[in-house]
Amino acid sequence: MYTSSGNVLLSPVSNRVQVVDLLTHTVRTLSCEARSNIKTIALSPDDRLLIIIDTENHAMLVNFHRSVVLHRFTFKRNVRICEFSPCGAFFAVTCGNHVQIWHSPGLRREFAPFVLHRTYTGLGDSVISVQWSSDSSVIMASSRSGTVRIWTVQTVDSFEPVTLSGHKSSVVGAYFEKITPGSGGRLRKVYTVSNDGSLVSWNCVYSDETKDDEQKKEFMDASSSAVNFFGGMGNELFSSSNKNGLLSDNTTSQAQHLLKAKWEVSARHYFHQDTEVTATNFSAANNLLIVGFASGIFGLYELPSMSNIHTLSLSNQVIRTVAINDTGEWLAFGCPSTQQLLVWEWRSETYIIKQRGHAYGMRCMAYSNDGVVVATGGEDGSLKLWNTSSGFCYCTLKSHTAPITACVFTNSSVVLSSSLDGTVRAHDLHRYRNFRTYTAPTPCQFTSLAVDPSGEVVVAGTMDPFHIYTWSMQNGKLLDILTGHVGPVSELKFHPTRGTLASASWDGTVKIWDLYKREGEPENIKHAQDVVCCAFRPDGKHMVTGTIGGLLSVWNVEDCKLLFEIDGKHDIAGGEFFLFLLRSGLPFPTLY
Amino acid sequence: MTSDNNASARYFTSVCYSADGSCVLAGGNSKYICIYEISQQILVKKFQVSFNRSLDGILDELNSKNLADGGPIDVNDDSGDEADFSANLPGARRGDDGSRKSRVEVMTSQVAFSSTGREWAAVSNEGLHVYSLDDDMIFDPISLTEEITPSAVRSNLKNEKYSVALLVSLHLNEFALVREVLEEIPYGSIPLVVKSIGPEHIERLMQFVSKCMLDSPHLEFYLQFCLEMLRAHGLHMEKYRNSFMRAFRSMHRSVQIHHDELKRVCDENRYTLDVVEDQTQITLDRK
Repeated sequence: MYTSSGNVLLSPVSNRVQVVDLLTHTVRTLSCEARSNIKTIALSPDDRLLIIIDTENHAMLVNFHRSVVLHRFTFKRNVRICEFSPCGAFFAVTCGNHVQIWHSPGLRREFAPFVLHRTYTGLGDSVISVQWSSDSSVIMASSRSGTVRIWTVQTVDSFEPVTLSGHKSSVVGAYFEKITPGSGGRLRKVYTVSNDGSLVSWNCVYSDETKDDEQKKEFMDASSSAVNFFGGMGNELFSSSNKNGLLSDNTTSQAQHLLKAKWEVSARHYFHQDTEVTATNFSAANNLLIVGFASGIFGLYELPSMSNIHTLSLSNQVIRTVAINDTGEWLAFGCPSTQQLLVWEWRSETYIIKQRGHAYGMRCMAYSNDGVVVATGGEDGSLKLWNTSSGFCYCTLKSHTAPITACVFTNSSVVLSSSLDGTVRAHDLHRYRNFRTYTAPTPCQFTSLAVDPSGEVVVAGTMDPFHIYTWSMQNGKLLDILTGHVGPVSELKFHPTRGTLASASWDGTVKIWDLYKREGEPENIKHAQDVVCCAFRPDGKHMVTGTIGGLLSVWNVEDCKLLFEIDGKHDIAGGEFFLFLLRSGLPFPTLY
Repeated sequence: MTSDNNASARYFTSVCYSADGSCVLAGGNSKYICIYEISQQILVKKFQVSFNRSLDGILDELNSKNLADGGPIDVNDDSGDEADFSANLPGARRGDDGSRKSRVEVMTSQVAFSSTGREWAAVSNEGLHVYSLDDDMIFDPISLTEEITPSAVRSNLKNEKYSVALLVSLHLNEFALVREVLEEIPYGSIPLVVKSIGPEHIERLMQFVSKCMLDSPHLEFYLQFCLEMLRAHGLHMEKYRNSFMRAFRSMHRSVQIHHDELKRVCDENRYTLDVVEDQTQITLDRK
């Protein structure tokens, strides 16, 4: 997850990237899909290129505005983080316990747009975070082994990579302090945050600081000529970025300053939270550090004084990722286990957005009559209402205690949901509350639900006694129990104009009931296999049913005659399952 | 080979008619969602819900390299975060014996058409997917001749032949162009322009107007368009009610969205004014 120009938030959701616009409150999903779940994304500073890397280390280079895939590439080792340099000329990728710097590609299509610049080694365990200095000349990486290493991007003569080791456990984040004019244009401080909840700030002491200025200048000139000599082709890029004004010409890059630097621990701080630090982020411009903990608490600290501005418990789940926008006002948090995405404005202490998915996935959905709202029922028993034009969930109704099996809108602003907990509940969309509950005399699990076109009668089919229960919408009284099916009722649908009800069942029949006639047997339409779904045409003349053989049959409703059959078995077939291969005992087809 | 492991033993678990009743959308325990044309019983389009290989049932042929005796090898299980939560029981010497599912299967549990007929949605294991006609521009010209070009539209606009320009742009059926023409039409000549559009184009125009209205600040302008369309072509619409259903619904939806937004602001303002009024009354009383 990542903020780009301040008000747009990118959030990877399984193998797609969602773009959340915080100003207009809309969500859109990029049309490109990664091959598997996304591990990390990186956006170039000019917002044009997006690099998406998935769990199989397969990278995609995407034009962000058009969401067109420009190039695909597979990294050899496990990639955890990808980060663009602030000047946009490079991007850094962590490959196992190495860090690789690649030249960032242009927007033109090339045969091989990714060119490796350098590989950095020396860290004992897999690399967790990568950070660029603000002038893109120095890179710092922290590893699981508790050490942090600092390298220069271009070769600098007689520079030895710096290793900072002072943590007991893996270092979650390492950050450069912002370079201020008061500090002589030099890097003064580095902060490292480790897993066990400690922060170490490192001071950088320059040995030439005591010498007089002339000597200093001479040394600078010598070292810059050395860089030009050794830099090679990459230096051209570097000098071009110089011209762009990202680096003013009269200052030397941080890489040369570091030649004479000595590092020492200046302070140690502890967060005192009793849990692991799982995510950190640092806004160098505002000197703000956000730390997310495994207990769902986050802390906002001002550095270097390490004063706690804010501590808040967001959820009871692990915060896996945090981000902060350029102005330092909006903090974004992601908790994957509850599928939560939160944006918190810390100055006014308000939520900008607070979105949460269904904890174990969705099961059913329904469009409202005007097509503006979509209701979804989840396995966690919650019913959510989504706005189709903005893509935001604006209401969560949590009244069920078991998975919701069906939901349906009535004519007015009422949404009904049936659940495996044995209730059908009606929710009011004005006050967002459950105003009526329908239950059966004996406990049973409802699998299907329908409301008649006038919105007077609610019917629900069950899993176990195979009955269909009908209630009055108004007073919640049980009107009738329709019996006759000998298998679970899989789907119920009302005829759009007449008062008849079609019920599809696993016993291989579809029965058409006339609810307003007391006597008479229901019309019986027999199928060869179990019926799992049925639907009426909007004008009510035809009905389509689907069986577990993959057969779709279209029936004339007047005389219950079969009109057409579509064998969809071959259309829908495809896709192998790992587990089925194992279960059948024949793992692979053999040649002999 | 059982029905479980047979790749062709997939079936539809949810069907749904389109808003005009000509097509059926069907999704099931497979990666595909199919749209059939009912009167000719042909497959119109097949959508693949996901290409995410982290789900089971996406690949048509599995690579044996990813399969060990105990189950599929997770490619990414070296010393990452995942390694901290290992599946093995503490103290266990052998691997996990349970036949638990390690991967989620791809499947669609429900599909539904929106009543506007412009979009449909599917619930899959990955979440809610909304497929819309509105997002991507589809070039679908009707009765094109050589004279019908964007430049012809613009020259007509320049000469203030608004109805001709609108007709030509409707022929081209390009959203950006139609919008450009619509916004050029002066408010006063809306009734005339709408009257001159033939009934065969009025549905298309309604769809465009309702789409433009969604994100346009010119609310009254487009409302005037809606009103004039209903006035001028109401009888025709009434007669061919079914074919106009989709356009009506999308128009209704756009108007409803604006209505809701305005209502909220107005209500808020009214209550604030009430409070201010009361407060002044109270302070005056005190004095």
